[in-house]
Amino acid sequence: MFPIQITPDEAMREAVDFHRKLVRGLDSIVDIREIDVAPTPKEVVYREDDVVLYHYLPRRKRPCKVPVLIVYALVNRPYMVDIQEDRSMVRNLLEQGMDLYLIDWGYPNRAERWLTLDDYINGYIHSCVEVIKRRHGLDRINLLGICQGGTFSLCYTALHPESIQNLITMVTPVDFHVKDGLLNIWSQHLDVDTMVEAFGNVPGEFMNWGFLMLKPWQLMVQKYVGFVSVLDDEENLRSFLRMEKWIFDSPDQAGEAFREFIKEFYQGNKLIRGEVELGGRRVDLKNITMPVLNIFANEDHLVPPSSSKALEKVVGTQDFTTLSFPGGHIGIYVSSRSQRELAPTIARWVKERV
Amino acid sequence: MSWNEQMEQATKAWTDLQRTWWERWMPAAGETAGTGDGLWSQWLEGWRRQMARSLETWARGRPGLPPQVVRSLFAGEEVFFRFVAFVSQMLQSLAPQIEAGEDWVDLLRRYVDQIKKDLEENPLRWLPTAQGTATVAAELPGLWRLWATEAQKMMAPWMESTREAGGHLGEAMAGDRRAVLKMMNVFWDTYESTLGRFLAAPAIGYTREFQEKAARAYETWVDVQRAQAEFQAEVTNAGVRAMETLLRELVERAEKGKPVTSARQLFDLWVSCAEKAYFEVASTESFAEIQGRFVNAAMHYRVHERQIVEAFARTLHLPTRTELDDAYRHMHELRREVKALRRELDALREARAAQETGPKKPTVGARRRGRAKAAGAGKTTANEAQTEPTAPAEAGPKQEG
Repeated sequence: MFPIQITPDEAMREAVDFHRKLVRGLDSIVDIREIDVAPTPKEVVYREDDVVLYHYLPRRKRPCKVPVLIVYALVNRPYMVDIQEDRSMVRNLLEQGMDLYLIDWGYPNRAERWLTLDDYINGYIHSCVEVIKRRHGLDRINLLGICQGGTFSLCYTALHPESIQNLITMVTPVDFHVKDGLLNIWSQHLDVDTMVEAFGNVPGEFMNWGFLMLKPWQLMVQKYVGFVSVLDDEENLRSFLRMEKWIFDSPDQAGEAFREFIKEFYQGNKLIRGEVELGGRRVDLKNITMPVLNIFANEDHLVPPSSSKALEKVVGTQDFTTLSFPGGHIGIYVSSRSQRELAPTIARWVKERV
Repeated sequence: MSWNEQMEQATKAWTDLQRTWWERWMPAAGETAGTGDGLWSQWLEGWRRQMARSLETWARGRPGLPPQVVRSLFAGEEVFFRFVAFVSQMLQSLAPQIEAGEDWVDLLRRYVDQIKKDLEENPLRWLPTAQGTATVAAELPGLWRLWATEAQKMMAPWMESTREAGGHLGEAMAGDRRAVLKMMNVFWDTYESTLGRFLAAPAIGYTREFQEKAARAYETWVDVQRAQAEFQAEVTNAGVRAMETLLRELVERAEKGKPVTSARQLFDLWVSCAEKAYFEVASTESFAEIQGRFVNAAMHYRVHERQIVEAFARTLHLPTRTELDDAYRHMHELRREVKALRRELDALREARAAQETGPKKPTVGARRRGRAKAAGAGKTTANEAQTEPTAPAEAGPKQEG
């Protein structure tokens, strides 16, 4: 049997239908003036430079006594965890009785070009942790680090173990030399010194270019072809546009921090070897002796599961839990399954340990 | 004219174009791969013009429509159409032979081989030529296009070879398979034989320093062009592999008795094959090296470009990027120092306050652990044993709430 059973006139009809849908659907886009994101109510509790610490208003009368601080990546914006009401890890965790804080790194401008990883980790994260401790009269809080924010959380916890009760890492790169991730392979040949000299801050558009190049056909072509089929459904259309906004809402990366992250972590793979130094102190993951929950997405093309799984063998804790979640790097926050399962799992794990 | 009327008009014009195209296409049945592409290109170009006109009218007075959304949508559509065109052309070409009982696997393989040869000889053939797909393709090397535009200012003495190369670009668009190579060769030959040699020589005279900078900048620009061509060749290589992967998938489907029954289904299969093939190429060390060379060359060019801009800025008494960066660095160092001093000061104040008021009340966590220890319950870690209620080392200037 010949494997393609399409006649030319059917193909043409399909193309005409496609075009008709697209043109008609454009009116639906015009009607959507605002793309609203991050719907969960929150208050500003602390500012330092351009960094803002938010506290989400609890949704239970007596939330968990030990709050959770979410540390997101510097790449892209943290509202991915609260992209819309029915796809919100934040909202789901609040429903489970968690008390949540989130660090918003802002959009570094040229004056912030000299910010280092030490500034981010021993500076901003430390300040936020101290503020939360003081607000709650605690000497330890829970930390939930996401992606690069997970790597930062590992560094912070290794350097300040006395401040962290439980550590949760999500889709977090740990072994940067695993060979099943394109970013790991590509970054080895980057002259990051010249890049930072050329750019100052590394532009968000440049970062996006790199991410799109990981799956160019899916992300630059197929996605928009598929989009046509949701044009006549307002809710789906809004969800699509929110995701588009998030993808392309990319802050620039502070030059020095970017240089360090590429050289020390991606190229040198020093985290796993215990050779990273921040503020004159060595980051020793063996210092992480509190309970750790490590969550990874088993189809993650940005942070391969093998990179995250490497954590188990390098931390000092005896209480290590691994959670493999179906889907990709973003699906872990927005998929229907994650809405049902992820937050309850995290909340249960935390509550058993506070 | 209402939107619906405009849309109807656009659709009608488009349908007419299809009919015209269809009538012209039918006699071309049986052509080998590629030779009928001109008709498709004309059709696509006609469609694009119609759409551009229609959209331009329609978009007026609709400021809410983000232009990039429209661009992306139409770019996606155009790629889809080109794909449908390709499939239709392939089927039209193969159908008589399949009906005559020839082995379709062998036929498809030969067809794919023809395309591969085409791709190798003329990579631009499968690159977009119309505006829509150009938008998609421009995303790949698009990062450099602004710089390339700027760099054209330095191209003035090279207009002749650029014009000549531009002629070859036209040939490439018209289907000459060797045109791209000719284009690149014209440029490089001219460069190597004249300015390249000149630039390599030491500059002299009053403007020596500036000449030197301009020369190095130009050299790095040439490096970018070379590295980009090399990178593009690697991406093309992935395209060649994608065709092989698609063929394998189709054979498997035929064996399982699961034919593809719609253009969209085939398009999705092709994307999945293209992505798989791309990953295989992109995960090689050689791809990473070539991509690295491309990116690094662009960065070197950017650095040199800035040096030239700064030379001009200085003559105009303007502050330069380097000077501003230096100022920012000093500010950053000062800020760090102030924060460190503030932390130290806060710690001292708290220590003094503690001395004056007696021992500090333990925090909730410390009290709980204290009770646990007293009861002899639970495992105590080294960290807990060391933990004392610490003085908050808050650094920030503003705390709210």
